Amino acid sequence: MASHHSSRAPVVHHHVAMMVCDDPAALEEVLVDLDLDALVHQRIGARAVVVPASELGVLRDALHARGVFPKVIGEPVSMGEQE
Amino acid sequence: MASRTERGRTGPISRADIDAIFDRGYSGASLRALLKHWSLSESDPDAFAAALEDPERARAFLEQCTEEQFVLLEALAERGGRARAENLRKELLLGGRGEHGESIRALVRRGVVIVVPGSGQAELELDALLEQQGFLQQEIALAAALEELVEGRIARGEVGVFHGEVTSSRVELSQALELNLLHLSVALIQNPLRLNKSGAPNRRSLAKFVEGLTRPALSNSPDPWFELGVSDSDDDYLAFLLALAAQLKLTRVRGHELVGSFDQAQKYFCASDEKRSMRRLDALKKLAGWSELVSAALINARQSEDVIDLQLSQHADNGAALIGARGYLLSVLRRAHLDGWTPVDAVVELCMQLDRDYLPRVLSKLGTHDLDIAEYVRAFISRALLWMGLVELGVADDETEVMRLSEQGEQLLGQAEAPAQVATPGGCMIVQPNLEAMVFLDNAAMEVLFRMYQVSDRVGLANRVATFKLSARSVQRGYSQGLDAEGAISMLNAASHAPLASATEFQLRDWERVWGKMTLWARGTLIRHEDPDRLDSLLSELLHVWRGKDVQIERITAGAVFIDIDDVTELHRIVDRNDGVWIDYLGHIPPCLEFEEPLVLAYSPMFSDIGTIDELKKISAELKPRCTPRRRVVELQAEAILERWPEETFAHVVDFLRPRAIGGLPASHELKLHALLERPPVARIRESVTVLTLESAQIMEIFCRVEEVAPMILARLGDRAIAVAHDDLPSLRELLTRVGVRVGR
Repeated sequence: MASHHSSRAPVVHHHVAMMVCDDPAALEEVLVDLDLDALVHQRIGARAVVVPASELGVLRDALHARGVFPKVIGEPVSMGEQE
Repeated sequence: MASRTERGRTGPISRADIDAIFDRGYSGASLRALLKHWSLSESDPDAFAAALEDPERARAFLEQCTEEQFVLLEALAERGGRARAENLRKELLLGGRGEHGESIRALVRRGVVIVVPGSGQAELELDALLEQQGFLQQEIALAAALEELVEGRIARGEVGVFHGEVTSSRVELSQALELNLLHLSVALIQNPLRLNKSGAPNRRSLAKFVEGLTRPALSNSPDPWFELGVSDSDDDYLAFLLALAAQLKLTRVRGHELVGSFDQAQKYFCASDEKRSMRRLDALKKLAGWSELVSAALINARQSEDVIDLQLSQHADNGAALIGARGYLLSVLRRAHLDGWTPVDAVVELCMQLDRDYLPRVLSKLGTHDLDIAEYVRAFISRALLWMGLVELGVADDETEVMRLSEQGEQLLGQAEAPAQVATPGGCMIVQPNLEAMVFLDNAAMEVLFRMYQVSDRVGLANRVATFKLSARSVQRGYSQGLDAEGAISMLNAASHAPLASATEFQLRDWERVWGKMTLWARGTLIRHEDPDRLDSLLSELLHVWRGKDVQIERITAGAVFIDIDDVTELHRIVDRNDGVWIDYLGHIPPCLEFEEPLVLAYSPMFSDIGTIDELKKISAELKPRCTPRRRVVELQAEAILERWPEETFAHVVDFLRPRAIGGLPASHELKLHALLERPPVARIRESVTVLTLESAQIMEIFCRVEEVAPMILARLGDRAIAVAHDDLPSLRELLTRVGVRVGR
């Protein structure tokens, strides 16, 4: 809720995927030619971009198309979980 | 009787056996019949013992024996002249010398082979005993003279061995099977295969995965490449391959997808040849996802595409009930003396006869009473064993189908020693400066092939040479799976004929440098808090609760932390207690928008979900003077909305706003949006109007057909009312009276 939560309230985004770089410059370098328009995403700080976990494939494909093959940690959500 | 328990149990009929027979071991009638066969008239044990050692009498018996009976006598003589009848029968079957149950009975009836009474047996009635199935459990023996004669005269023949000329043969290399398994597993590690509800792979999705698979050895097509849907046999092979991969744990079902497991693939393909062979043989026996019963039906063209789908299904365990039958068939092959080419029919017969009840009993439990058991055994041999590389199948010049164990089959079925693994000197590949590597399969260990699949893509396979291409994508993929640049360089150097070019080494290291800068977390939970101190405190509480659990944490900013943990129950509880917001992108997303005006919305960037903020950016503009860091105010933009949803614009924007607006989308705002996006709704206001209501739609319908009424009607108001001008009220009253309508109050 936009105004009903106090600053004491934590916010949890569950089932998200995250692209994170060691340093802000590395993320900027990647984002220069990465077309994220088609992707639901949010920049968190200087080093990370968060997307709903179901969008991982789109993000990964976009990175691969740019020749970036990051190490992937964890297991992607399956089609069954998304349904 | 005491003498019976003391007598020896080896060699031909002994004096102790004779005493046992005469000492009430045989019934009177059976003893008389035995003596008659040996041309003796009086019941004298000494005379009988002497007759059994008489070579002339023995020779006379032999002259009357058929060739089949000779074989039996030979086998009995080879065992020292004494054996349990069933053991002898099985030995002959396993030796490829056919079924001899009836021969044994015939020779017992003629007195050539003598039944030895057991220690607890008395008054044996031979005629009745021979009619019983249990007869084969009886010990039988030869007379000493017969045993000597047989041993001396009959040389052992290689019964069952095929002596004709085999004109064509096919054998599957186990490496070809493993290369297909590897190719398929790697494809499934990289991308999931979509499954239909039945568990069968989605055909369109499957087409991608079979690219690069080679056909099995018995395929009738000259094209080496596997193609989906061309023949039942090939599709059945694919089902076999998928089932074998699943049985080896190289793949698993995840929701509606089939995925590969890198860890399991590494464990399997990096194991020694011997260990992998044993695992494959074990997997064959336990194969749950593939059934040779279905194969038998396919071979005999009794089934349809539905059955292929059943065979391909990753949910159906249609082969699980055959584990025992497969174990039996493999044990028959292990015990059989298959020395060289043997007619397939003879092997099938052997499998059916060795334990005549077993296969019918197992298969009838599966409700397959109409199945020809020979077809089942034949399908197991001609498909499973051939595809596994355990047998070689051939056709002889007289069209006889023949088989023999392959080298791999002989080793796995215990008939030959496995050759010691010798490291091949000089390597098995050439890595070219253009980053293409040619791998010579005859020299390549499976581990090297697995590593090549890990760091490169196979781009060619011909003439026992596989060509792989190293690229940024493939090498970084390999790094994602735990390899590093030094490991990749070391592996390539060890397997290569010549040291890697320095440019290649540089490239591998550079790709690692780029790759190491970024991490993609596939799934997890992001916790944000406006107050970093409170976030720290919450995190401490969580770490205390999660102590000992597998949790990975990445701090993104002072106010944001990313957590990867399976069980978030405790986190959920703490968030609820702190009146926090829980946004689940695979579940409930709480509303976060507040309407300030019909087209003006406010939201908190901190408490809103990613999707809503992302969408708002596309369809609205910020009203900057009204914004604060904790509260954004935006105005919906008609042009942007139309661009975002060119079709059914109004419906789309309502669908977006209704679940996200706190308290829902007020109707007045919805109207305003309609006015903004479609066209303003048109209204007309009438004054001095009289409304006439009739008691039913039917009366109104008739009334409206009265000639004078139509000109008076300003508007129909539903099916029972009309509006007329106030000035027409007198005429209306007159008309109502005239047509007999009573005006109530």
